[in-house]
Amino acid sequence: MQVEDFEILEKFSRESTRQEAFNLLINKYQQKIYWHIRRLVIDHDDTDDLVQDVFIKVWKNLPNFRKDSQLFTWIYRIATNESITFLNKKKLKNNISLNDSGGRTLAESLADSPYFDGDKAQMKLQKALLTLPDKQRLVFNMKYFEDLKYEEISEILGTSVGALKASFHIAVKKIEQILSHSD
Amino acid sequence: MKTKNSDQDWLKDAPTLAKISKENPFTVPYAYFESLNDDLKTLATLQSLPLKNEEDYPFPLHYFKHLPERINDRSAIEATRNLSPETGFQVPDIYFDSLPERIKCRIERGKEIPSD
Repeated sequence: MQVEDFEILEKFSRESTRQEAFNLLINKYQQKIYWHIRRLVIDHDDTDDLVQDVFIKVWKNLPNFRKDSQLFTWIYRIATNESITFLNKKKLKNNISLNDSGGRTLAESLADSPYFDGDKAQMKLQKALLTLPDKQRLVFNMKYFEDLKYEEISEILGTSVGALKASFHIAVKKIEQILSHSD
Repeated sequence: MKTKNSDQDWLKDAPTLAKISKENPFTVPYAYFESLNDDLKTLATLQSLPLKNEEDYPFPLHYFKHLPERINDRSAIEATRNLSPETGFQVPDIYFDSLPERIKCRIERGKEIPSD
């Protein structure tokens, strides 16, 4: 049975059960956070690094967590910010690199990944997704794959529900156009 | 009645996308989540260890104030050491060949060094 967030927070507030609370939090959220990040950064090793960074931030900042937002949206927000920062740094690194050692693009990571088990159509979809701006791709992933409610995405990203709906529908149209015009 | 902006509205606009499986196509290495679980708990334990204060690692007064200056001085000295004879001062031909002999003369005889 999955432990409720309020129980985790209650245990974390006591020194004697703090480590236990964090273990419960890891057990509850590690896979959700992993997949949230993985769909954005594509590469498994990059995801692994980011997941660890996220949980360290959670550990450090949980004592200051204010209960005016849900625990899960707070953790998702940290994961999202870390991922977007990573992607921006990666783009910058790739842009200033004068040779091939600057790192692989997301499309290259996707094409080379030993940890992709989808069919041709799924690969096409992932490639099409990589043509979207990162934030639009993020909204698409959260709605389409993670099946989050617009209200939840709104709380995580700090964007209005209306803007999220518009962003998702634009992303869907772009993706459909790419998919329907490819072989 | 169909509501405006329903979550499923996109289906009619994207029939090709709708046909694609939503199953997660990505995978992870064998037993990855089991080891991740342990790694994260270990990291959290390490993070909870008390960190040493700066006072536990004393350094001289104004150390950081003068550090850039000292680095510049050191770089200049290193650059001088690396000067090759072609780019720096030069000496007469066979100067170093005759130098030991001339020093020896100076020490033993207390005389003027014979000119070449």
